[in-house]
Amino acid sequence: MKLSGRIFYTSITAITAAIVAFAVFRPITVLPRSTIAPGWSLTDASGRAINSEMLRGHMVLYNFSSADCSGTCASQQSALQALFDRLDRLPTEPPITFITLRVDGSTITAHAAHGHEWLTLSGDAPTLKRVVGAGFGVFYDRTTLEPALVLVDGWGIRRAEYRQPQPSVDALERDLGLLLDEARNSTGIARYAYEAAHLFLCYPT
Amino acid sequence: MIIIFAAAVTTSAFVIGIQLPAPVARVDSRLVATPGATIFGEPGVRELAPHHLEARVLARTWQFDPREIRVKVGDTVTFFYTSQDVIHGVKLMGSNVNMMIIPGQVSRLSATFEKAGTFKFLCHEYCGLGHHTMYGEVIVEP
Repeated sequence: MKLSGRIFYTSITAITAAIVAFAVFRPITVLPRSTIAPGWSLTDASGRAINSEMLRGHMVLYNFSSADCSGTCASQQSALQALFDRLDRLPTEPPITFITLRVDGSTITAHAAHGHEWLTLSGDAPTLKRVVGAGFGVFYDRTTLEPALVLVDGWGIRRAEYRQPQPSVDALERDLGLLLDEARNSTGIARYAYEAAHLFLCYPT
Repeated sequence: MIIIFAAAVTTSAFVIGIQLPAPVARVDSRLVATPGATIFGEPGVRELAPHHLEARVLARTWQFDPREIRVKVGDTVTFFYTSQDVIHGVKLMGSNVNMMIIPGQVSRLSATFEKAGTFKFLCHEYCGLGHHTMYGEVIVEP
């Protein structure tokens, strides 16, 4: 066999081995890309209009609540507060924003910590139904509000959903960390490694 | 063959942008039919917003639960399927809903019904002796 032929077949074998090794050992873990999150325009407690386009580049964790938040709603909010208090462990860039959508139209004042913000937004009933019900797929009526958290990346793509009454704060922190790592590191040539991680379904277990 | 395969994978991933479907959610198939444990504990249809419905369908040998889904013309329905026992499949006639139903995983697809009629959905993955009896229907009312 000629030298050029050997080089060709050796290269092909090396590339194939690298692909298989990547798929098996998963050196990069990513969160799956789901669907596009719904667009919205809502108001905060001061009446300021905020829309989803203003949050491009932010990692957004959506949650859903109401004024009479009790039971699973209360336990989910306490888990979120625990997570928010842990945000100092995570990088400050890109910013993380928590958004609580109040399905009954009520709002409370926003607060911030560690360079990250927690907004509480609301709107009129038809708009909320369109955003929360049709957009995020969260069922609610006068007496019921299903627990749900939705993690959206800086491009507005849903990356994780948590529908349990008691979300794991550790799992939420891990997923936020993965998302931040991907946003900060997937540039230049490393972007192709992250795309390969998506291709080979290198998701957290 | 390896060269062709590697080229096809590379082209589809990085040029065409084809991605494998991501898992929507996972459920414990032992508890899937228990009310309150998962969204399939109380299968059925409910309205998320005007003209936006959610259908939670539990597949098991050899039936779909619910077997009949009623919607209105213009409704968009997001179907969630899972299996309690073995691998099933679902094909909803006249729509893009065509997917595997795997125990422990949730399969999700949406369809908008633009015209009235009755549309059968059936298991298209052989699942045992009663496979041919495993079907249901979506009734789209005007």
